[in-house]
Amino acid sequence: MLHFKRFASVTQKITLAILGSFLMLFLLVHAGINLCLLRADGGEWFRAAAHFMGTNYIVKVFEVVLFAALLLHILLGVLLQWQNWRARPVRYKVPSKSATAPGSKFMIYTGILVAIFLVIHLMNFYFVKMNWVEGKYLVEIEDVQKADPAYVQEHMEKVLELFQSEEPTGSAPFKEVATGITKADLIEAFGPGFTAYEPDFYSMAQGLFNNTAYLVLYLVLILALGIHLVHAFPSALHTLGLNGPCYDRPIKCIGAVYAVIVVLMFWAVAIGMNILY
Amino acid sequence: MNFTLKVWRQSGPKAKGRFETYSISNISSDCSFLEMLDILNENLVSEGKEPVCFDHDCREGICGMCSLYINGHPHGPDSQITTCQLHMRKFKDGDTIYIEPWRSAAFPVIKDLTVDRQAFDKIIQAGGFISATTGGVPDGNAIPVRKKDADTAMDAAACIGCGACVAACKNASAMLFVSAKVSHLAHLPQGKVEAAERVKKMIAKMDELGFGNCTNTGACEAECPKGIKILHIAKLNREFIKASV
Repeated sequence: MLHFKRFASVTQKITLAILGSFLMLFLLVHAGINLCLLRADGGEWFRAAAHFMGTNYIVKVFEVVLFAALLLHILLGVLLQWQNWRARPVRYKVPSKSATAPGSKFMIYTGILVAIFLVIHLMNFYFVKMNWVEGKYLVEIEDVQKADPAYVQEHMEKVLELFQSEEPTGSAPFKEVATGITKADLIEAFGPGFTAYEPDFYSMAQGLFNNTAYLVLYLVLILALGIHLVHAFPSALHTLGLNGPCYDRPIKCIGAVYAVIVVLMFWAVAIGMNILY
Repeated sequence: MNFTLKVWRQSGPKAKGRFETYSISNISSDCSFLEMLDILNENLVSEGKEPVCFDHDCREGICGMCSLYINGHPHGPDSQITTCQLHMRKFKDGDTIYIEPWRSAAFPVIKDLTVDRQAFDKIIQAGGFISATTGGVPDGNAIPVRKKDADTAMDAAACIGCGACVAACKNASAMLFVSAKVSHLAHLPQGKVEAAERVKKMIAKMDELGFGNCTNTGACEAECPKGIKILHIAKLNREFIKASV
């Protein structure tokens, strides 16, 4: 704390604003990719996007930057809030009735809700990728040869079952990609040494959004994110000094529109997945 | 008009304070808030009790001396006025009115409703001035100033340093006050010379004195008796970035 005091309050705020702006850009990218989930292609586009995001080297660099930005944004936000609480040791008896910008009084609380969401979200998806928790997996048909041939031969029945097409009478009896495989099935079909599989984010999202309790929690926490964002954009620009008499109103409008768009994009995907697939 | 007053009483800076309830009756609706407190004090003195200590001076809204956090608003429920300009007709007959001192770590209570606002003086001493050399008075038109800049500087200069911004802010931040002073001088040619030094020193002093950080909520702007805009805070941030890079 004393160490951080060496930085001027405005320096801390400007850093918070820059990191926040980066996170706002990331949200748009994430929401855009999520929209692929709504395409009626059995998850083909979404899996392609997830594969790209999981393997591209530039994206991998950004992943590190993103996690660093998130952590520092949270750390600085909490630190500034702590200083703010200390600045008024005796509270008022009558709570403030002053007019304030929408959402601006609750940034730390909506921020905490977003952080809780983040933990749940990482456990559901990112930790599966890191192999820290178990999820659903997919295997491409050409990757079957990377498994131990003797083992696959022995368990051919299981492998065929995984690649069984939904319409076995059609021209293609087998699927290109076997999806929604559990860890147990993966080991049973391809042996314990098999690594040519990827997390199947589509099947995991499908499972979660069709769980009503999770859906409700998701919608509520995304709304908290939305409230955080209403103030985020105008506040960040204000802190960066990029505001003036002519820009004040448009900036506030853009901030509100941005927040509504982000919330609607995430909500549309969650509700759409629940109803459609 | 009759009122029930809940007034913060605290005998000294270290003493433990509490709310005291007083009933006051027969108050004219044209009475100002401070006159109403004067009547309360006269009543208290005649009863042999200690009068309520509160700050006031010019009683015409220009000195910045009066304070009071009234029913959740610094300077009371009306907008763009100081407490001395607040009239009892703004309240309803029979209202209960909570009167609290400014609450901030940087503004310690001296007694009752009086707080020590020397922190603002210290911020001004850190850089809220121009180092003018003495000499002959220059011609008024010798230094041209854009009309827009002159107006903005004048708007910022309207700050009377009352501390309502700190009182209103959920973070007890002094950013509106500091930004008004920084913006005022940074818009004028005489102030531009020391602009970089000034903004850094004033922010450093503000942080040191224990004020909170600005979260751009706009409560200060809503309560400022002189209608200072938070756009001056954006200007302060701009000046700070310019001074730092």
